[in-house]
Amino acid sequence: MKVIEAEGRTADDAKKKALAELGIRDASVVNIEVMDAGKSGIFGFGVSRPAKVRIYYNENNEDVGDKVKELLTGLLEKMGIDGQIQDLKEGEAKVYVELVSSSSGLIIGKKGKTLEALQFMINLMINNTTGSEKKIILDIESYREKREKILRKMSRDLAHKVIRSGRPLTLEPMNPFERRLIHLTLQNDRRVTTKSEGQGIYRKIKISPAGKSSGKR
Amino acid sequence: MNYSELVGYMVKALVDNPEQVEIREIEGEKSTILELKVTKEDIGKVIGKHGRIARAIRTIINASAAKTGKRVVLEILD
Repeated sequence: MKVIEAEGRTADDAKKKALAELGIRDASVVNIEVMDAGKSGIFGFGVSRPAKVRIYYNENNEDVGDKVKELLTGLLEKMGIDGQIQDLKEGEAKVYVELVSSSSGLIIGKKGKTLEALQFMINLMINNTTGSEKKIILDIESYREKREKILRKMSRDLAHKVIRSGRPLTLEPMNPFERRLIHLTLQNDRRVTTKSEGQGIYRKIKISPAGKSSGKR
Repeated sequence: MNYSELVGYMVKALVDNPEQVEIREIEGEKSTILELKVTKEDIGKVIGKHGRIARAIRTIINASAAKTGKRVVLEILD
């Protein structure tokens, strides 16, 4: 529970200020107590006193899960794509959402691009409307697990290729999570080294034969 | 498909001034252009660092438009 106080010309003003400070738009998630309605002097004469409010705000807002449900179903509906929430697990720092859909391919997109975008978007929307900093993870038909397996296998296959040919290979651009997975998969293989190159969304992994990329033999 | 509604749904949850979000839909034969206008203070909230948010919005629009075979272009006006 967090308590903040704010002052303003009127009680409404003070309320708005406090909510803006917390980064919350939906006033229904907090308890507002008007401590002093304030007093404004007529035409600038007389005694004027600012209004004061106190806001009680529950940081571990329990209905983050409900809000995720609402916003996500709404988003899929507006996209015109069939999709339901099959399972939602809410933890201390994360909300895990499993979707089902008759057109899961559309929700996943090429190399998971759409799923990534949806996850990013729902995180922003939730963060901005509820102030919750919980990380929301979207999955559909265990896509993430499958992708992980594929990436592990692919990186091992490519490592073999590098060892056989003695030449480095550069992979396609990947997100930080996927790059990390590949670094981890190959970190115990002494015959190769992995390195990330490039900037931002173009950052990709280079697998090199051990000893060659670093220049020391 | 109502793309303005889709974009509005996302953008209004991201900005500080949702009542000042304007979206104009210009329908062409092969493509639809969406013009998005938000307040100056909110423009960063729809573009994001290195255009990350704008890219996510576009990806979501494209997924939604995939079935129709039409191209939908999002333009952010300033």
